[in-house]
Amino acid sequence: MLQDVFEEYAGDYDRWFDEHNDEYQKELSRIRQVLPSPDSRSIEIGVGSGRFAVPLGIRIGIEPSRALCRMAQARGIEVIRGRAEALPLGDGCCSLALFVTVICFLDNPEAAFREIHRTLSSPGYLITAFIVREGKIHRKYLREGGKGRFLSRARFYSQEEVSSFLKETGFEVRDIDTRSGFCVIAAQKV
Amino acid sequence: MKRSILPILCCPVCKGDLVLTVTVGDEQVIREGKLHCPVCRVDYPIEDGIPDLLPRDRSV
Repeated sequence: MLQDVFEEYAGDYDRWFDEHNDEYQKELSRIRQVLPSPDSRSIEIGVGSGRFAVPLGIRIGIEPSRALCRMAQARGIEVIRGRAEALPLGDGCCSLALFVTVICFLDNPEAAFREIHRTLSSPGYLITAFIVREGKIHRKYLREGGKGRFLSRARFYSQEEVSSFLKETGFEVRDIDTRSGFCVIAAQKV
Repeated sequence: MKRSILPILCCPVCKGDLVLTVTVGDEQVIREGKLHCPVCRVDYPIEDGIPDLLPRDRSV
């Protein structure tokens, strides 16, 4: 099970951000450009070890991996162990959701988008960032095997497919930035 | 976990309210305890300050 990989190799996952700092900082910068100012009701779904939430000012995170939960907690995140497809969050309780490089690991991304839509207040924002199928980063991982332990089981999507998921689950796409195989979509609950 | 996040939490399956039991904690922070869903009859543990709200049935 993919979740077991994140339990066993959580340290490797977290070290990637130190070993690829330029790539990490570029992704952070692009998310920051479209991210509304976080407040106390902002949340990251799939917070991992907190590498995005902490610098972006998001204080609450959902994460299925126990090992990554502990890392995020150690970085000051209020972390809840849970899955994107079955969020343990009440209707309309969040103002902003961040969802970075998660959909490729989900069995049912559409179910996750429906859950995020349910938990957002209106008009809440969802910022989704992902590795584009057959884009520069995906091709690099296929060629070099970097992050292979994690990404070998991932399922990648095109910008059009993710936009379609968002529209079908009740979001309106406000901004799309696809560069270098990494796409950031800002969407709003309608 | 801080008690301040309790109002946003619900059962991941039925989305109903959860009943809190604290075994270690204070007025602001909960270290150990459980969140019980009376509808699903499931206990979700809180360990080392992290509530485990994964659905017990992977198919959910």
